[in-house]
Amino acid sequence: MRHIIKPLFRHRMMPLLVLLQVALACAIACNALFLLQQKLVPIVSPDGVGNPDRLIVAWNIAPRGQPWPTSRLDQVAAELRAIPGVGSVSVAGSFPMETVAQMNGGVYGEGAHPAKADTAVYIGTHLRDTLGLKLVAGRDFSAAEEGVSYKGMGLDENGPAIITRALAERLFPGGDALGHVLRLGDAADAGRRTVVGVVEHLMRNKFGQDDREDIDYSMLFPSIPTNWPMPIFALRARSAAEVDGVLKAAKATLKRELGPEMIQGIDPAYEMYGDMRERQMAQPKAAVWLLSGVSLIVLLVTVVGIMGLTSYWVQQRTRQIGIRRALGARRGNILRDVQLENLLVVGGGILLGMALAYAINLWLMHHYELARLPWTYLPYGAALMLLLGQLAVLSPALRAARVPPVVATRSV
Amino acid sequence: MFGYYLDLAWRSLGRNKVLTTLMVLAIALGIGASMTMITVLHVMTADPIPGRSGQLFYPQVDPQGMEGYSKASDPPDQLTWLDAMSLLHARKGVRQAAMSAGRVTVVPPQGATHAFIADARYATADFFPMFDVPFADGGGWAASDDDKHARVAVIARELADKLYGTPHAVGQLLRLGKYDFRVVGVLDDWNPAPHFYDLSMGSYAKPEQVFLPFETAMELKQGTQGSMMCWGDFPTDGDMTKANGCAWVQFWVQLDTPARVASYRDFLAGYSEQQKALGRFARPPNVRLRDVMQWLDYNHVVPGSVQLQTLLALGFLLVCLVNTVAMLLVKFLRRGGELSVRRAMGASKRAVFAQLLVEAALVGLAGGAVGLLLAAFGLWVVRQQPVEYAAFAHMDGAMLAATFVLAVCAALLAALFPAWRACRIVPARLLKTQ
Repeated sequence: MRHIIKPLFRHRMMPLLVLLQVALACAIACNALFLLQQKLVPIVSPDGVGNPDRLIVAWNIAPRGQPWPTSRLDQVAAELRAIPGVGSVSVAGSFPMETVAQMNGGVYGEGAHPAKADTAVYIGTHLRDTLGLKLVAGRDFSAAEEGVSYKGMGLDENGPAIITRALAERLFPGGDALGHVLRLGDAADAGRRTVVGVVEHLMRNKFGQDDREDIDYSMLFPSIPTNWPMPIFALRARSAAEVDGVLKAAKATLKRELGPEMIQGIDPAYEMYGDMRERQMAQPKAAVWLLSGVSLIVLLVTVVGIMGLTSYWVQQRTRQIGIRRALGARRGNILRDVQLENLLVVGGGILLGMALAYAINLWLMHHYELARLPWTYLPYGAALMLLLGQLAVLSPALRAARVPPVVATRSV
Repeated sequence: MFGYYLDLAWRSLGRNKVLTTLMVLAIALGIGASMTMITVLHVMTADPIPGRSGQLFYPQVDPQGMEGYSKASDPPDQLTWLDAMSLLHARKGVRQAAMSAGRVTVVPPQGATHAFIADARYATADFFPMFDVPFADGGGWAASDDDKHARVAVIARELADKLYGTPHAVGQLLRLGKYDFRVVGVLDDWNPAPHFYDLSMGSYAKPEQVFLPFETAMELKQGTQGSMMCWGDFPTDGDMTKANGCAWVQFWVQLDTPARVASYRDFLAGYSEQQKALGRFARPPNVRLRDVMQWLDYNHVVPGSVQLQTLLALGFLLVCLVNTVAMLLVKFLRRGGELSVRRAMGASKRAVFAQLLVEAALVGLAGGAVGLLLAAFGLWVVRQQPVEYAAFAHMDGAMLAATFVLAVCAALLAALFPAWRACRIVPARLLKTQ
């Protein structure tokens, strides 16, 4: 060991440069990969919607003058339901992946110190059916609950709610959420909602800094918001083969029923739910490409740097290596020595890099509302860097091992 | 001497092509990435109204109830109709204008079947002179037109061309829905980016096609759009001027001297006190007065993600630079023999140092050229992204020059330490061993 460490201190410059490169690459790659992982969450998380290729969404339906009364919207929904091939129809005020109108807010559990969760609310008729959400506990809304008429949007009124499993665990930890009551906001007269059902997943309409758990914080309310200027119609076709027919008929029905009362020049949008999801995911996806590209090139540049420096250093010490070979060192010894040396230097760089990565993360947290870098990143990052270091040193180390003992007798 | 150094540098760089290529590539990658992001940031932080931005201010007052009040809470981003009209008629600034985004149905001369929706801005008379809006024909309306609820309109050149086939449309009749307006002015091309005077329509919204006197538009119940913050009752009959519990009007005031700014701030506080005494306001005076750049900053017009990406790109440049330091060190130290000969022949340390720096500058220049191509590609990628500032990501002359300056400076900086090391060699020792 001594014969490896000592020269490192005698010729400080080369190992120091390698160390610096590794530290910088480590710090930047760790933070870039962490950002990447956060952008990846909405892309890889399940949104809970079953058979997205059968769900047709009609939005951007703008009434001229006053919003349509809920009875009128119900009547149109009944017309849509009569289209052959339609499984279920929903009239909603807010809808997953539709960000023109979002309803998000703080929701509280029970007790003196209730748990709080930033939750998305989707209000509409037959949403569970239409979205194809999987009920894991409790029941769907009853016909009476679906028929209730709100005084306003419904966000501050009492009634039933269906929540996601993640939200149930957050608000009512360690127990059954069914029958419990959640509060919509911290005001004394905030609306209270009794949990009647729990669904497996439902993604919330807020893709900013979601992590794996709170991306699922959302709930459903029955019925249609009153005086809502942007109603959304969603239709679920019974089978994929019937989608085209349903879409055509739905367009015709909405045009016939509501067309004359819409603002001229604003055309309703008809989209498959899967396409809406793709559209919302375009930005996180672009960020993922960017971040993975940057991380990859940083690591590549570092590997090339380590390779260049080590080969120069090996070349500088050709004579010493020759002497050691003449004194009886085997090729394997030389190879291992160069590798071990690289391991030490890269290890030092990683230690410095991890500290730097943490410092950068703290600074970013302070300025950009970023989450804390989880410590589990560090061992993975370290292992990756060590592996890359060994990869970079392989060719120079092999060259060093091939130095013949006879070099010792020549002057360089 | 410089020519000789260039010649030496050229020969030296040609000797080890792989190393030279790697160095150029490292600098090019770093420069390409950072210049892409710096250009995006440069475009996004650009002054939308140069020369005026320091004199234009955006007042905020706080008419909300006590619910949810804390000392640190910011007033709403916009004003209620009532407050906007009070501030407008107080005329405490050099110029002032209240405004809101709207939407109108344009009925072209061809008939109602060709009607289409256009983005509109309802504003008061000072809007045009205050923002230095260029006119192709005619001009804005007068303050008296605001008071008279005159049916006049200013339209964008694009719309004038579309409707009348000419930008000289002053005096033409413009039909919006059921009502006729007389065109008094046609704007020349005007597209402030960011869309600073109303960020609620998107920070990089396109300029409006139709401009109407605010009070006329309200009287005729033309539809408004944009964000609105409500804490009280919302009128059910669509008359937004009665929405006392909703803030939806933007207001700008021009103040030329620091003294006027200070007195306007006092005026806002006094106004809040007075309204509180009248029982309209509940909170203690909570006012803000920001100029254009402060207003953009407060509204985070440059998204955090862009700043983060810029930091990432600069970090990337740093990695590439450290790499260049290492490669230059290897390159210079390998030439110990040659440098020793030059030193032994009488070249001073400074001459050798200068020679090595010229070599590094050459690498930097080449890196800058390749980096420029990479940055152009990077900006193209940014333009393909689904972000609203995408269309503005273009390189200008200043950024082009900055690319080369940054590349050469970075290369020189990277070369300082290796060149210094290479100068320190003792010629005699190296020459003896050869």
